[in-house]
Amino acid sequence: MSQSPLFTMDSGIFKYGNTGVFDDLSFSLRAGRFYGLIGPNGSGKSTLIDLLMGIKELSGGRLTYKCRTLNSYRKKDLARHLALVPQQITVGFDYSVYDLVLMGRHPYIPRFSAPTADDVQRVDEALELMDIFHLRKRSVGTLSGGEKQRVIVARALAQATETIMLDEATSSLDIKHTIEIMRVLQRRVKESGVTVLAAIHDLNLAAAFCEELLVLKEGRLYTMGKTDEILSSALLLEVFSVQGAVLKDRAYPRIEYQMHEG
Amino acid sequence: MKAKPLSITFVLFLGLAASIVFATGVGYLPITAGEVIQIIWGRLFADTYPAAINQAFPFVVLDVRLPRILTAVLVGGGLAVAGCVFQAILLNPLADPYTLGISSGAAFGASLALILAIIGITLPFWFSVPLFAFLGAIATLYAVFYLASADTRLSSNTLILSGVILSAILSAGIGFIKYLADEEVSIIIFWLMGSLVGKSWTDVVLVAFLLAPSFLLILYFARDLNIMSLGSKTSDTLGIETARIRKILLVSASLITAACVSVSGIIGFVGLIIPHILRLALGADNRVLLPACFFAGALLLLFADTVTRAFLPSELPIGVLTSLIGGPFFCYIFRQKQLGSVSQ
Repeated sequence: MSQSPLFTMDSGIFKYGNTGVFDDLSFSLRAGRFYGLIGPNGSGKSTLIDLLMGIKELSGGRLTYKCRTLNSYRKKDLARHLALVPQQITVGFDYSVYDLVLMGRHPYIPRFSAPTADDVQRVDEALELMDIFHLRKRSVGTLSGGEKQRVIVARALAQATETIMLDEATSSLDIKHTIEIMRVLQRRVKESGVTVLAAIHDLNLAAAFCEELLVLKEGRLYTMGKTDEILSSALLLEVFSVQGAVLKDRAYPRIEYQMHEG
Repeated sequence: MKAKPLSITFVLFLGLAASIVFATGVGYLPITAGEVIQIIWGRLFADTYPAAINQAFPFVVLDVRLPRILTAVLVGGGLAVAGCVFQAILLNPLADPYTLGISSGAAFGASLALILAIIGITLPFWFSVPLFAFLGAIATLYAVFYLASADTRLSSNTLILSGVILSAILSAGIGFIKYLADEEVSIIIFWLMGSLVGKSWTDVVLVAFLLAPSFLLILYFARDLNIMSLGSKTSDTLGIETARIRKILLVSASLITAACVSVSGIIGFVGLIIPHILRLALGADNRVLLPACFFAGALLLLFADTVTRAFLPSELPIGVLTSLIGGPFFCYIFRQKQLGSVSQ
């Protein structure tokens, strides 16, 4: 494990307007792991993902990707390395499911060129994986919220990047498709060495799939480490202000919240 | 793969070519399509006309009708392309140069150029009018965005409302200039109403000269424009310099609008109707949509202009006609959009 980290954030500062979101944030992510990003609302999860995707820029400090400052990459090059699945997406005009997933191949298809056989194959593969191949000719506007979200995940898979980031991408999906998407991502991590960073609200989902967790609280990295080592009732109370127990009797930790009063 | 959209575009192109020939023949002196083709052919390749053709016809065709018809074609096509770009960038089926106030801004700029002449600064009109129209268009674009910027999603209603407010102020401004410059009243009124009467080859060349490079630039970014419809965050992560391309496209579309307005005045709604209908027929892919918009916009304005020129007892300003047709159509789309069936 002597490989150099994929991402390194060194004393990162990010200000939004006059208020600081991050003040002195440092951590690094290694390739080929499934990371979870957890924290209560407003703790800065989405902002951190935007920074790591190069959508927002640090106001101070340094963020490197593969030992080079992230912002020194051209957007087109970055798009071959990093893919994002946003929380929700508004599709301005009516594209077909197929066309939308094909947009994931944009960074690879030269201007004025048609998609190659490889592009088509990857798109078909992504459609199959997300269980939406039968919908490929439908227009995106006619899909349900959950189907639409699977289209967006398929688009990110078709992008064939080494890193995939998800910004609460499964929060609008039913449990079946949530688990399916997490399984597909897990397989990519294990079989192809892809790195995943997923901001997740559902702590049980994070505990089941993420090898390591980054825990954000009020713009600080509260802690970071192996999922089964850092999840504890103390963390639930201090970060999320809820009472609960962390059960470690299975292959992955489970959380049992204390829901009722008394 | 997309055989149907391409063939529709090709049919539009053929329809436009045929309509140009047909429209050239229509008027006070009827000229047959065959004669029109012979005259154009003779002018371009032979330098003589067949003896059977009336001596007056070449003048009527080449110097009176064709310049006006080609101006209509370029202006109609240009406005439709500009409308398509505004709609695609703003993700808004109600956007077009007219509803956003860009046309009024260009017309205001153009009438300012006349004031310059009155206070003694003499620049040739072929230069000052398009330049001021362009400055007016860009200034209005900025103002619309500034007014709408409090609403970070740039929603339809905010943008259109900003456009309408600015349009009202600018129309009043044009009225004020008209009051200052009473000798030039007729030409300023023409900018408010829109007209293609008396267009010359200078106008054709002027529009073509500004339109061609802007249109090519827009086509160059057509695929990026498709992806930008997923929102700037997503398009950024797909390798598109969204902010930069958006600026380039907005300026190009404004330049096209300014070129159109400086020769024809304000002609509303062409840029609204055409992209909207074609998107329903051809899908949203801008690589197909943009050329199709040019041909269809050209056809629509040529048709409307031919009606006012040849079929109505006295000539109606073309802008009045397009607004009479386009206004109700705007109401229809607005209503559909409020009902949530256009864009979710």
